[in-house]
Amino acid sequence: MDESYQEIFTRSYTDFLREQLQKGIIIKDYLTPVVEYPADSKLQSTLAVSGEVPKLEYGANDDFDNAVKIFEYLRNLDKTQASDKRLWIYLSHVTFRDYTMNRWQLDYSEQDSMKLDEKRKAINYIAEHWFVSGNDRSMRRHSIARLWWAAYLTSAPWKNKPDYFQSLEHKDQYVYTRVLLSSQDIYLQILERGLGRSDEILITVLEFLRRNPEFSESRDNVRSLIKELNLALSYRKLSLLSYSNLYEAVSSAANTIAATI
Amino acid sequence: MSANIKSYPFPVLGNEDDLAGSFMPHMTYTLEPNKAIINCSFNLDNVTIENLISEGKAKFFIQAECSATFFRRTYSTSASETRIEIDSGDVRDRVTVSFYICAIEGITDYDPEGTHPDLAGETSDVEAGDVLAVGGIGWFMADKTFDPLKAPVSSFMKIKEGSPKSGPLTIEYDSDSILIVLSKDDFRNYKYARKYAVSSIHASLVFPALVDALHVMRAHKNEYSDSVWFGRIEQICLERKINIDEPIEAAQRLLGEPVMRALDELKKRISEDEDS
Repeated sequence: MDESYQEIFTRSYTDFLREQLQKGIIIKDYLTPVVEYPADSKLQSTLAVSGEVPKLEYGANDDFDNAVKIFEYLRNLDKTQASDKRLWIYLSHVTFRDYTMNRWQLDYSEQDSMKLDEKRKAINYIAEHWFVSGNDRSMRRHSIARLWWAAYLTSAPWKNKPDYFQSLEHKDQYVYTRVLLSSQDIYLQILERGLGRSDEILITVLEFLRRNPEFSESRDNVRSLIKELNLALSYRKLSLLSYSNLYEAVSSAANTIAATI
Repeated sequence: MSANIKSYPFPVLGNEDDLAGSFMPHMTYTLEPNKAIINCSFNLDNVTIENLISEGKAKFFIQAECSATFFRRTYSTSASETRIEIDSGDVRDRVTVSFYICAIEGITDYDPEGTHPDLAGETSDVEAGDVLAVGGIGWFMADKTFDPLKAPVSSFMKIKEGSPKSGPLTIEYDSDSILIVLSKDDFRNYKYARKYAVSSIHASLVFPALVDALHVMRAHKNEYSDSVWFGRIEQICLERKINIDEPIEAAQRLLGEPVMRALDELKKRISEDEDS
């Protein structure tokens, strides 16, 4: 397979872009399909990428397919590289600009540029989907980082932690990525609340949702379950439990919720 | 170590005065080329919990977490000392380490010795994973190039040129470093002055900006605690035992008495001028 090395922005250029955005100078650039960035704003990283740049579809329903494409394209990333803002900001601005513009369309017009509130709203929206600031909260919102991390955190847990997840082995390595990206609400509820940091809890919750599609179809059910688990985490370290005990704890919380909603 | 006070369903050691006794973890760390090593030791003083650990019903529980990399890993031990290794590829910037003692199996009629009189008299059923003691939170920067004991100001603060020709300086907190932004005129003068009067620049630009930053750290902790500059200042203050809650004093200690150095520098300049 052909390998090439991924280009990224320089650190100073990412700071410059963010600063220009915060001042409202470059909002209109985010409505423009092609923007030329100066040669000295880019540098070649040591990150090898495999094959051709994948073509991503624009719909929210395409998130799962896109996540797999991005994950396989950037399969050589480790966690520290995957938290490098220079990489993600480059990918959203250059490599996947077209996708980012269409998937996270900016609702902004000439008239809005005269309204301070609308301008601020646009700046925040662009900052959220085109930039990352170095924490996992910002990567959950970034157009490309969110897809890569969704696949990274959920693919083949039985390979990454065989002692814990052996019983979950499945022919589809992305079975849990599929559940996580089955709706925006599941993705946001689970990853926004920090459950994504614990693979034991993340995968066990996704396994519960996979086995209980009726429960997971209800937005209220999922929200209440995640809220309940977060509350429990403040006095109970659930990751100390074995997989079967943790699954039982998740089921029990879900049953209580289903009975009351 | 800092600790959060919470409302638990039963008395927890280290949570205000729920229980008599103490749980005091101690942590040191070293950064090697491919891993971060955390050495932990635990001082525990509560008979009930000590017995639960020796009976294998509870364990020391360490949770390492890095918000930059979705990393959270937990470790448990019955020993009073342990060593944890974290792969360098798993973490970057700030890593927090929290300490607990947790039940590893259900305990019926839990009624620990030393319970505060307000909470005494009722037993609880404890489940596996329940927190019995909290030992607070430590942290370190997983950044091999950063040494908090030798860190220069430039490791968390930079001075740069802004767009306006003239006007007041501004301070920005959204980047990895705190940015002091000077107007074009001021920046030109700053570039000249920094060759001859570093201490005066520390006193007139860096010192007030750092005082402001320390206030921001206290007032907007949730907003900025993941920033590189925040973690570095916090780490330097921890290592040098500087109290962030006293911003004026803390900023002077961080900068090595900038006012005294600036006045000294001015005095020398004035006496040189008088001599010539």
